[in-house]
Amino acid sequence: MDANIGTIVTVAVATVLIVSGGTSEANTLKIDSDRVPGLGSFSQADRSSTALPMANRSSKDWAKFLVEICESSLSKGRMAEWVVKDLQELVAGARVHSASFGDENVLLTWDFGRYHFDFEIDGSKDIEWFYFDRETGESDEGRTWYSGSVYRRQLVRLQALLDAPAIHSGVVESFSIAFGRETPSLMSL
Amino acid sequence: MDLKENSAPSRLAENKEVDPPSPTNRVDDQVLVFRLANRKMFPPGNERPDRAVFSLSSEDKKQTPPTLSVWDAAQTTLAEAQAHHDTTHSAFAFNVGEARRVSEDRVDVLREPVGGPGGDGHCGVTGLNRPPSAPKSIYRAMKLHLADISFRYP
Repeated sequence: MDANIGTIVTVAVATVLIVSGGTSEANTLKIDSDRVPGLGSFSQADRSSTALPMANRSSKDWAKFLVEICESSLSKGRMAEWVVKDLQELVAGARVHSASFGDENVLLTWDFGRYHFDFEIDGSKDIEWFYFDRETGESDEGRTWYSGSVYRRQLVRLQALLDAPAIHSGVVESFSIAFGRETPSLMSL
Repeated sequence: MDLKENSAPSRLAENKEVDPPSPTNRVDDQVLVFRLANRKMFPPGNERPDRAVFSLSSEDKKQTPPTLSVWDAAQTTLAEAQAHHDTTHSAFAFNVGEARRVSEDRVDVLREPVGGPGGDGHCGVTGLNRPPSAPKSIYRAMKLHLADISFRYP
């Protein structure tokens, strides 16, 4: 079964379209335009297993840091927020472990010791992602947030890093619609 | 504050007398080097940086060869490096030998002394610039390994 996912983003609303077998379903994610871009969806990870220590980071420092990101690049800050919101909608527990702003890109990082996953946002609508298994050396990467095939791969990779019990039933249904028969294997990760 | 302030010192680029890279200016394996990083690249509270800190800036890429500016911790104090770049940025550090090992010798650290107090400790990390034909995944994994061996300094 072919699966295609497209995301249409407007200033106020990001819409995730899940299309499968000629049918479609839309999950609408509201973006609060009054909020400082990039602030709302970021939060400190509460996983003790994260390889990036978060314990020493105060909420004040974290908020200030994100404000700096947004002031540096509004488009990248907004894009980072949309990425995180989409992920949180589709994959429960997908809270960002760390974010940094480099010379050209925003990097959103999830790190679980053995596994690493990140998104690289360069300000265009394309987003690059990277997965790495430190134990086996296996890596995977892709580009273009709006491409259905890449979208599925990156979600599977990120899902592999998250605890299965954290998956909401609604998310499982969404994956069922999007990926059909591949869903059971995803759930078993 | 952008990364240009944390790039290799501009006076280095202007100094035509700088020796080309050679085995004689390789930094010993046991040396600890540190790099200044602004709070956007190295957020407060993080004990080690993300792989993004090993990405070369546009200014870094203009060097021949492209290098990332670091300082020998035995020859330069944090305050001296901060004064040189005119910043109060924090820093992260890593061991040179470990960097060579985890990068499978793609990365090297060369001495590139500059003027001013502590300037003898200035070094450049080579091997971080991905050739157009090389897979991104190799360089991403390598920079992730480098981030893994790095820690907040001092």
